[in-house]
Amino acid sequence: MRTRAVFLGGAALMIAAVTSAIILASGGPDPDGVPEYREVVDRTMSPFCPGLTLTECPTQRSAELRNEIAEKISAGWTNEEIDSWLTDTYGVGVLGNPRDGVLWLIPALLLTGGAATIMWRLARSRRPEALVGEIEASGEEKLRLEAELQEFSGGNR
Amino acid sequence: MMDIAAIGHVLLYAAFGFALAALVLSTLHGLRRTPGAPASSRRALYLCLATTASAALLLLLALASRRFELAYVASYTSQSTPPHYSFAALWAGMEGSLLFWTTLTSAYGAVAVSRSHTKRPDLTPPATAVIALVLAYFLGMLLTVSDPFARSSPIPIDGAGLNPLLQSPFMTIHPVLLYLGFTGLVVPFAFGTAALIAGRLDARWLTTTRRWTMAAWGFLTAGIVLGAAWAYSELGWGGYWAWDPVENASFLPWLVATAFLHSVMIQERRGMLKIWNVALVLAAYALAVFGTFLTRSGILTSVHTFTESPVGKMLLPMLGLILVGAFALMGWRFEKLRSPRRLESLASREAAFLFNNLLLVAVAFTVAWGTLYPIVVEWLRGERISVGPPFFNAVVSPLGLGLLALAGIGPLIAWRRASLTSLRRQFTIPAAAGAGALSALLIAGIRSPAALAAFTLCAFTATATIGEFVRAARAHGGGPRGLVRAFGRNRRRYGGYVVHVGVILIFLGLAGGAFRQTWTGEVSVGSSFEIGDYRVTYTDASRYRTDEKMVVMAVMDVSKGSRPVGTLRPQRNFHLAQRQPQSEVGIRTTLSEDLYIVLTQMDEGGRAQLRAWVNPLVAWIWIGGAVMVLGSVVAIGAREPSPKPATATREREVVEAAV
Repeated sequence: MRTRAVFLGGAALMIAAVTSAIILASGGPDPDGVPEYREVVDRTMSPFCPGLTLTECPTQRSAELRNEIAEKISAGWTNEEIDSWLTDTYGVGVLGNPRDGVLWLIPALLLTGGAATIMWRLARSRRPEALVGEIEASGEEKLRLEAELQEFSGGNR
Repeated sequence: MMDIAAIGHVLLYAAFGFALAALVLSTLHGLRRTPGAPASSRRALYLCLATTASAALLLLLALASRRFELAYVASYTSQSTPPHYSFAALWAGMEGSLLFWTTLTSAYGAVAVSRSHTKRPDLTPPATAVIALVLAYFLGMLLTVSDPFARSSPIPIDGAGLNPLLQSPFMTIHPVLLYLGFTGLVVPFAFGTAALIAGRLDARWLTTTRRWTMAAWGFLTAGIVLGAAWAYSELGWGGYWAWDPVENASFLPWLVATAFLHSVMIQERRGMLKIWNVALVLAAYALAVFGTFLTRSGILTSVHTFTESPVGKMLLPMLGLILVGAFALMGWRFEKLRSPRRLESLASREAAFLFNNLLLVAVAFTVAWGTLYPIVVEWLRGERISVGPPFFNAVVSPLGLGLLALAGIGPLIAWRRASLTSLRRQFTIPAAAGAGALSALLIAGIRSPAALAAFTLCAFTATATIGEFVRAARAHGGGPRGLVRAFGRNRRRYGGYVVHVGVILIFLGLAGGAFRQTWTGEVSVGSSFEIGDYRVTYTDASRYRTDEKMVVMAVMDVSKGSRPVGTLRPQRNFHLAQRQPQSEVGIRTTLSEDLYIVLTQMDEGGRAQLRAWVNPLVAWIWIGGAVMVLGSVVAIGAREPSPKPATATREREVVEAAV
């Protein structure tokens, strides 16, 4: 009973940790903080290269946009101000990591649900009646066992 | 002159007829046990291969001889297309690639059926029916909505030519490997479905399909890595993976097939996860079809996508059929899919495999979800959003690191339940190596959490894997000969560890991305710029024109410190037939870093706009990919074990606990 409680507690802790990490990550950068240049160009999708971030887009227009972003960061613009300016100018599609809870929630649910299922099955199967079955070892594994046993007995001599 | 279009159509109709014949004959056998039907259905499948391959060969000949009376030839070749790229034109467009896909599927089907009909007479007829159904579906599309032998009207004097981005050595190999991977998954899919239909769900169907899955997985791995190499060397954005929908489409079946190749061991050794294994095999092929749907439906914007066509819409019913059929069959056989055995301990190899599967499936789901999410939002809210690398990197990176850790943990833990003593003994050295690496990195001043985690786990997993090789060599007489003997005795196991070595090298290369440096600016002839430890001097500009393209090129002398290390020649091409610009990147590759220079523009006076990157450790990604493929080749060669009835003896349990 105690083991089961330990496992269920462990599962709960793990779920909480994963969920918190995901919530933190989905929250995005601090809205009032002044970002580093690379943070912004890495997280912003280029309006001029479908599927590429501003860092990666090789066009002249994206180079100009990168320069504009660098100027705004030098002028002390915050994350929220930069993102608002970008979305007002180019639409929400420019944010490569949308602040959209559902986008993050579904993978988080799958991961935590899967981990919880494994833990639950483990807790259930630790009852003595569930412990049935055996395993066939291959010849190669037997050889390895012999070598390990020899090494073990050699070391104890 | 030979009427290529007419001959092509006859071949496709014949192939369609043979596929239907194989389907009907094998179904008849299933319903009425008709004698002779299995042999006849196999022959029909062989004839389907002969006619489909002939059609593909005919199209290749038409492409090589520039027979512009075929619309496909006129669209993807021109008189100036280099002859060796005529082959690449077969998969450059939708109709040709669909014909190629169908030919490979029929080849896999014919070989798999010919090899299995004596060993698995119970599973081969239903598997033949499944393969024939898939072939009939694809041939039906070739005959209706995606005709590679459609005629041009009027016949042009010259064709449009091959997309310049596809004129790369990587592009002659990468799609072929990916298609070999995608289509190869039809064999495990067919035999998995056959096992469900026949109700033979013991581990033996896994024995039949494991090698095929490994082969398809090896091809997918090679195709994905070469695709990344192509993007890196041809697209000129300094990266190799952009989480583009088409990249994601190739990644999804790879992830699920990887999960299967791990979980299959649990069923073989412990009789667990029967339903999970069947689901993974069916999902892997469903995802291959899903990826094809994504690339051909036009629902997503990608640099790779073919234009919107009815093929995409026709793949949806097929996908639906696979999913509904899979669920129905699994529901029908649910009782036979239940396993009496349970997971016994968190400290067991089964648990490590289970968490490995959870992470792989979570990555697959996240990638699929992130890829489709913009469509869902646009459909529900009418808003156009992007889900790009920032999302995928944020979610997939930690999961990937978890998988890297499990690649080290799994082999160190015994099946069923590991004792604390054995865990301590097995983990001490790898954990010390990880801790040592972490300390060294911190002392070196590295503070990037992602890079610290990746390098630490690389050290841990590499030490654990090397430890396995050392123990294997020792158990077989010691030294390199002992290791060779160990590989000979259990190629599957040690091939798998070689794959893990490749994975570690890839993570090493990915972690190098944290230290990437970039430079953007304009330079005149004679001036220099500095990036990282490099000084790059722009020494000369040249312009020339060929029949195919106009070229501007910057000649850049590169020195590191005071030592000259080479000359790079990034160039910007303008392809005349396609009226399309394209960059040729200047790359200096070493094991420690790449210097990567892209010429984005050059004015009449020779003033060049450049972007430059120093990309640390990138070469290890390509080396790691090659090692992974090598590992899969080693593992494929393993003899298939004959499943033995397990006997419960104390000795065997002791053996398992120790290994």
